[in-house]
Amino acid sequence: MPPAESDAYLGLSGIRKEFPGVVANDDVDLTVRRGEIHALLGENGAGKSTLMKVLYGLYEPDAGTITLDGEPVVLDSPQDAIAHGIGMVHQHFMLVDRLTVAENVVLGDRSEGSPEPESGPLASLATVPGLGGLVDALTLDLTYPRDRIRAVAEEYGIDVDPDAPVRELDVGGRQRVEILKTLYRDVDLLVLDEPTAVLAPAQAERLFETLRDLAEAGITVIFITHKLEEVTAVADRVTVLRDGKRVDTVPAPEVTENDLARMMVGRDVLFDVDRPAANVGDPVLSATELETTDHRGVEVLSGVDLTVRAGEVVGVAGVSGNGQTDLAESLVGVADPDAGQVSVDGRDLTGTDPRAFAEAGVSYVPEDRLADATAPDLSVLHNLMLKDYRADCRRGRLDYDGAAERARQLVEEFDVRGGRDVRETPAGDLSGGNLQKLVLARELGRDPEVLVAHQPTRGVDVGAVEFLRSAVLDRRSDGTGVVLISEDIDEVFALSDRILVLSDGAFVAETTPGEADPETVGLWMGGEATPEDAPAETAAGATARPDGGEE
Amino acid sequence: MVGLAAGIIDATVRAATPLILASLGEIISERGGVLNLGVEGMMLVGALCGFATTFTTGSPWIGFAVGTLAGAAMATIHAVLCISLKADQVISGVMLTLLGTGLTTYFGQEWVSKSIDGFETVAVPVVGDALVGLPLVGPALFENTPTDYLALALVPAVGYLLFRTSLGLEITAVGENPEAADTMGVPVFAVRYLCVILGGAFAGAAGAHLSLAFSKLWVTGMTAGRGWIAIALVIFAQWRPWRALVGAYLFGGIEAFVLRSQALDPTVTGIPLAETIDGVVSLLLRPQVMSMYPYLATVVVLVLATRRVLDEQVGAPSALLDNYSRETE
Amino acid sequence: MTGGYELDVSTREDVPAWLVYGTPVLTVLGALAVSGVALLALGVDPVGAYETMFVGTLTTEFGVSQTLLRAVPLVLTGLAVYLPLRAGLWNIGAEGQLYLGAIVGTWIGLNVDAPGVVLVPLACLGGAVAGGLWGLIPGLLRARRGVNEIIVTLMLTFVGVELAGYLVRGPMRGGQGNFPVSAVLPDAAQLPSLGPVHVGVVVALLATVAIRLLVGQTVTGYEITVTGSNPDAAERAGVDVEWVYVFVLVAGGALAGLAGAIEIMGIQERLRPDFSPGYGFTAIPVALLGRNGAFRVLLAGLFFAVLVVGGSSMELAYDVPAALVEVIQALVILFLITAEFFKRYRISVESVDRTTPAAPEGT
Repeated sequence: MPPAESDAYLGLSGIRKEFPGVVANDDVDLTVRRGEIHALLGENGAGKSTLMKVLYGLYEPDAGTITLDGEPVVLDSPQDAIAHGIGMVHQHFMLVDRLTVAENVVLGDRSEGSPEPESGPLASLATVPGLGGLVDALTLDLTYPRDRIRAVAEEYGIDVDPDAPVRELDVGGRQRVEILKTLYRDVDLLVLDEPTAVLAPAQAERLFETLRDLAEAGITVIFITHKLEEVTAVADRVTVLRDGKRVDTVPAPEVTENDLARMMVGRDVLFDVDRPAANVGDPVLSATELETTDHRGVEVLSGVDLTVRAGEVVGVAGVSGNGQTDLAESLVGVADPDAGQVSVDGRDLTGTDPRAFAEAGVSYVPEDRLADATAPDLSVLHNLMLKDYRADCRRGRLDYDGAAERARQLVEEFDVRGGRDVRETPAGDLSGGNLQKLVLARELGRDPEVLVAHQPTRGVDVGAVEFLRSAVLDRRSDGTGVVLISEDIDEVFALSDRILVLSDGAFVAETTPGEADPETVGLWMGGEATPEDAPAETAAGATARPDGGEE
Repeated sequence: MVGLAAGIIDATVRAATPLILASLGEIISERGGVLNLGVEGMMLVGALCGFATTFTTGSPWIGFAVGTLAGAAMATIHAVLCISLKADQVISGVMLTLLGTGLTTYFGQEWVSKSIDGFETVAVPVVGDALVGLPLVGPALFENTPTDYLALALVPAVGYLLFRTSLGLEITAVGENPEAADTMGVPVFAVRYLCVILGGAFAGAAGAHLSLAFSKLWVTGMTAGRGWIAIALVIFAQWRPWRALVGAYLFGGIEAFVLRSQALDPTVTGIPLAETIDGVVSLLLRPQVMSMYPYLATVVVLVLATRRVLDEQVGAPSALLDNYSRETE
Repeated sequence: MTGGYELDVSTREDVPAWLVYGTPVLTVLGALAVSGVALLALGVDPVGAYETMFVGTLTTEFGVSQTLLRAVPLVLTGLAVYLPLRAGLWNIGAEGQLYLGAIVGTWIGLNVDAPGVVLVPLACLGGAVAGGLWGLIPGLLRARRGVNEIIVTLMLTFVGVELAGYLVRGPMRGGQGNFPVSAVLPDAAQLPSLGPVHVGVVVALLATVAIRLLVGQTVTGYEITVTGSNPDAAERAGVDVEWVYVFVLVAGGALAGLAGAIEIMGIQERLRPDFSPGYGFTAIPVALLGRNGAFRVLLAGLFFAVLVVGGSSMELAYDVPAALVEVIQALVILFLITAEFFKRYRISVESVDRTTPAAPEGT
């Protein structure tokens, strides 16, 4: 139990939540005081969002209790949470694009929050006993909500037009609607899940001001983040989570960002993988001036250069949402960049399809293995064949027997547990770690020239992590050039020969594991002072500087 | 020629009613996120139950109510399968059409060739008697069966429900983004159940109208594909009640025209290529060719709408065909 | 707060063997049991009726040969739904593709002057091409424009049926008097018979084997399977998903078109606007029952054919409408999808004591 606090408003104690193969929250305690801004800090996968979804009634915890003002509460659904004055702004906005701001705000509250009886053709019926609920359901009077939205918006300095259709708002506007939704319902406790992930710095600054105003008005704010600067900028206290467990809760003004980075990353090196010296050869993959935009036309990658040589691991460190997915997909032909070139072994493959990249020797481990890398209801064999099935074609017939033979070897070699019966076991039956081993077996078993691995050990159990990392290093010794895109600083340090830091769609720093320490890189990832400000650590001969480098 | 035109207009209004009712129901169901391909079956069940009840009780109103409830009952099966048991909406819908066809053919045999009085046409109160005499449109607009008027009244009613009520907001929300609706405290499953069952009730009413007001007979398979047309109409109308009304008159007009068009064979003379134009026009006016228009128009609208759907407020509900469950990792 | 019970629904990790093998049997028995109530409602003894339906059909030469003949269009259209389903697409327009095949098959049979050895394969080919083109439209729209194939295949079905209706009243009318039928096919365009059945039975069997080999043994089949399981992963691995979508709908359409041509040349002998009792729709439950393999489609097609033939015998013997068969078919599938849920999820009732959350210790 955490030390009891007389002014505790929210108390979570002993929260445990398991998903198949992963313990997302492991006996987590959290105490939040009334009117404070409490940051919940941790790397991706540390269990922050899961904990808050438990609080909001979206997930049912396997163990643990929740108290509000000392009273135990049961939160089985968002309705329960709302009834207890809890509001949540989700990482992925929960808005209905087809409706207006006001309509989104009153959604779920059939009386539209109005204290007045409704007007309209059915309103007189409301006086009949028992029909009040029906009348509420069958009327919609947005006059009061509009006024109230304007009033609330003015009170907290939030700029929204109640009648604007949500689909026409930008991310900042959408987020303001999300906050407004909770304020409209008089929340006492507001939870924001990574609210700045999608915001530009100026928008984020505006958000912080709003949060301060809210706290001053007595609203308790829990604020999930993995950016250190944000903790020191707005939080009163901070709780750090790591690997599903609570590390500590400390007053924010009393800690430095370095302390927080250490708590968040965990300085005890968990995985000591033997990394022989690099034997670097010629460039195998090079990308120049890559530019991409998202479906709204907003720039994602802004002119990225990257060269990978045979036998080296280039780690791309960075917080997700800074262009990682676009970078990975551009490097393997899944996405076509708007501008720039990608060449493999000196051959320009820009604008071709994933098959051309695969045939040129590019292997790819996507971030989301279930959604993008495997066919979960097909057999292990089907999944292992997925990259090179054409090679198994014998006079029009697919040689499943030969492929099964090789699949069995790969299963053996990569220690894919639970997949021995390669023809019968569906890949989806494997645990997360073993499924990832399967993907890596497929991508590495073909002796690729290049491996682009995006978060290859995310959500994988400890034993598998070590195995996967060794496998990547073995392949590096055999001359494969590796791009490792990861948020896990430990992983980047353990595997990389060079480290590039990706922030806001551009490389902001280049270093090596020997030159920089993880805390420093962690600060750079969080958008803190980059080597431009402190040039001492910048490596010479960078090929990935935003200003063009030497390519 | 005036007599023919008046006949066609009158027949159009009559043919439109079942399409209006069934497509309004399908709009509600689809806006809630559930595709119901069982409309044809639900209409047939509604038609037979309504007919049998009317024959037994002598009251078309009781028959109409029972037919409506029968459609709702069929839809409840669809709701349980698709919402609670997360079954594929396509399979469940097609099977309910098969079930409805089979059941009504099986149990309907003893009702074939029986006759009822059904709904009589009545003039619109107050102004009706004066206006029925209007040329061309008089009888079509001002002297109809009660269920024709009901269908017309339900168009604004459904429009009101969908766009002017709290429940309508919730329906849109569960059809667009059930997860968001859930986080706002909207009972997603309950709202979807309501939409599907209401949709089935409308289909049942459409069927009951056919047997009680349109033909006053029970004929095996009497819906004759109107359930499918209603589904097409929903897409054609882009999920909007008023456009469905317009579409129902268009499609109903084609049906009315098809039944009578043998009497119509316009000829063009005096311009170049007259013979070719004649040929093309007469081909395009052939009854079976005209019967294809609703389906072809639907495909065209679907293709156009799919292209524009990202930036306009039209198009299918985003979560159509997605079965929602809360706790997935 | 009070205690109570709640349903706990959790995903099964292992499906017990009895559920896997018992499900098809149980769903069929369940459908027959419920339909038995319908028989009782009309005063018919269900046991006797089912005996007529199954035993009578399967023990007489007439019953068996009728079953085989009925199975031909059901199996072929079943495959026409099955193949796109493998790729994750719904072809609910097999009926329309069947009509297109019948139209073109009839036209070739009537208008091409050739000996049967040439004419029959030519008409079959023509029917397959017509059905394939009818599948090409939804295929291209889905692959290139992302247009939902469910609606397009469905809409084109009715266009195909109306087209046949127009043709037999117009350009292809050939009956006596004013009946909307085409002329009777010449002898050369009639399918050769094999004893009591026609050669279409062999075609259906070969088509099943071909689809089975295609799906199970070829690169294309592998691509179809992977696309059906996860199109995103398939695309990332270099599968041309657009091509797969076009291919399955064209191939499916061709199979249904072939069925149409065979039905005309083997059974109907002339084109009628209502020649199909909904084969292309019945194909959907057939494909669903057989979705785990082409041979299972064959078995499902045969099973449904037994029902259809048995339904007719039952109608004759007991004077109850054969439409009961449609009820049985629908119920089999409705029970099957219900059972799917219980295969995927484990349901247990838990007693919940809402008062358990302990008050926090210490203050």
